[in-house]
Amino acid sequence: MLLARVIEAYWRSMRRSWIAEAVPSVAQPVILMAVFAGLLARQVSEHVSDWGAPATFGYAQYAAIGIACSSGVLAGAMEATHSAYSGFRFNEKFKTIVTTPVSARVLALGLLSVAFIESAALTAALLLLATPVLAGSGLVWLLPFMLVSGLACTAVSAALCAIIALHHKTPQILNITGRVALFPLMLFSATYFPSTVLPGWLRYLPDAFPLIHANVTLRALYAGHWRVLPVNLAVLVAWSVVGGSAMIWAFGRELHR
Amino acid sequence: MTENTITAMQLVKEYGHRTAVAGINLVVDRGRCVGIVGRNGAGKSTTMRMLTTVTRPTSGSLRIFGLDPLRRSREIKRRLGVVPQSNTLDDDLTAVQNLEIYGRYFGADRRQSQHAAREALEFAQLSDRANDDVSTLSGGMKRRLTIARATVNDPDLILMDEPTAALDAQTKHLVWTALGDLCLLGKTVLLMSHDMEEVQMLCDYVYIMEEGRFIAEGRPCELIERYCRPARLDVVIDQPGSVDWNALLEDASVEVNRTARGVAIEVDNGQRALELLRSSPASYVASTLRPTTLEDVYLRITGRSAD
Repeated sequence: MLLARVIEAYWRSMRRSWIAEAVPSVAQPVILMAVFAGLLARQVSEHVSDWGAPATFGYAQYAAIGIACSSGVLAGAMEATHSAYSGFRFNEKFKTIVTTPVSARVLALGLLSVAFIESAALTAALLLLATPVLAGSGLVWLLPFMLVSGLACTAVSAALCAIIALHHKTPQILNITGRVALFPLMLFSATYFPSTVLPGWLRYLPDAFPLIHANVTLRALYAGHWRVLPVNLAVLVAWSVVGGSAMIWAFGRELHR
Repeated sequence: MTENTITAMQLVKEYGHRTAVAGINLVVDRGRCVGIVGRNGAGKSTTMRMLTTVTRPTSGSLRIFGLDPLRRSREIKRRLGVVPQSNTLDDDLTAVQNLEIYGRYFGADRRQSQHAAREALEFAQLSDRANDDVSTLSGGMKRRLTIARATVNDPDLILMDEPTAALDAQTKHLVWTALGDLCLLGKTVLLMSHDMEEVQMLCDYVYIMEEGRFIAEGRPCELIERYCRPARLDVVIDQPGSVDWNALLEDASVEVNRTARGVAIEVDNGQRALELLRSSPASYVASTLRPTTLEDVYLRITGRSAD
């Protein structure tokens, strides 16, 4: 019940500005989809695959799935990262909340839930907007898997940011996390092109993060290749658990010291 | 028999090699207003965090409402009201929304939290600003709103950390009136402050904290009696060091302390000292006689150095 109260408080606080957040969150991936799945796809004649099986669709579908997934899950990741960072930097507000029956654990889970809900809503909206490119029965399987992916990315990013913010509360931390970690991660995680085209070690680096597992699996599911699901799903669930636990630990450390 | 709201015995909090609280004994009876005074860094806020059950003590025993905070934290928190040192109101919400949300954290349903918020606003004399954004309120109004917020769950114990820090004189008095009303309502209040006037005016009992320890405790009037003479004579002078004050006041034991523009002298008989000063040839600009206060006690005990 207290978890619902944290979500309610957050929603009441942000509902005045939700349009300002929602419009760019939707507009940016729509523009990217129009450019990559529309204009650039005309230049790419080959079918593209990154799940180890022959491709059955073209670059337009490849890019549309990657952009919808990455934008959805990273929106949640950014939201959670921002909440964790600002909560630690201006931690008196969080410290006051934990003097009520709301514990640091419930507060962390509440923030994670808000980010996850935002990610899920955006993901659903983007999949809906991508239907002109992604027609077919495979589309049905994308949403639930994208939700798991969103949870994994959100938990990992928030945990990473919270742990860094335990020691460095300067404003630059958010910029560093966003520009140095999340943006390159989106580029190298098979969002716009398969990781097989990357040189040397860079090809394997994104494997350590959840986003590439989400992108590759989504495309495989869309094409009807279920073989890759168990391993990648296990990776994402593991990341969700590890990230969520680390975030709760960091919140406890910060707010109960 | 009076029930102890707080009982702390040999309470210690260490952060690595640094000891923030070094073994304090604290007893707060139900319905009392008790103050802890001390300079910045004395350990007041750490003590408060332990009492709010947010920070775990390194050692010692602590009971709040007779309950163990390590095991029954949530039960204790339901009966606590907390006024933090800084502004922790949500600027994106109105005054009443801030209180409603806070009430919801204590498990109140929507109707209960709305009712409690309206009552708390009335208590803080902010009903006419209920639907205004917090960002449009003055500093004093925000402070009163923060105090009102600490009452929305009808707490048995209210913990306040520097409730009037950085407020102007008029606003301070408004806040003090609100705090006095809480005491009259029978709430137990623990006030952390370095404003001696505030503590002397509001508190039944005072602990003086220095470097993580309580170095003195008692009722304000007892402390004044114990550590100070009854009156203090402040003299503004134009030539430092030119007067032998002990000889002038015919008392070799009086202690003379430098002030910004002269000297402060504690005396047993203020009127007699003032007469001696006025009839002496000593050169001075002005003089003021007043009863000694808790601030004099505090400076006597802790010294005048900033370290």
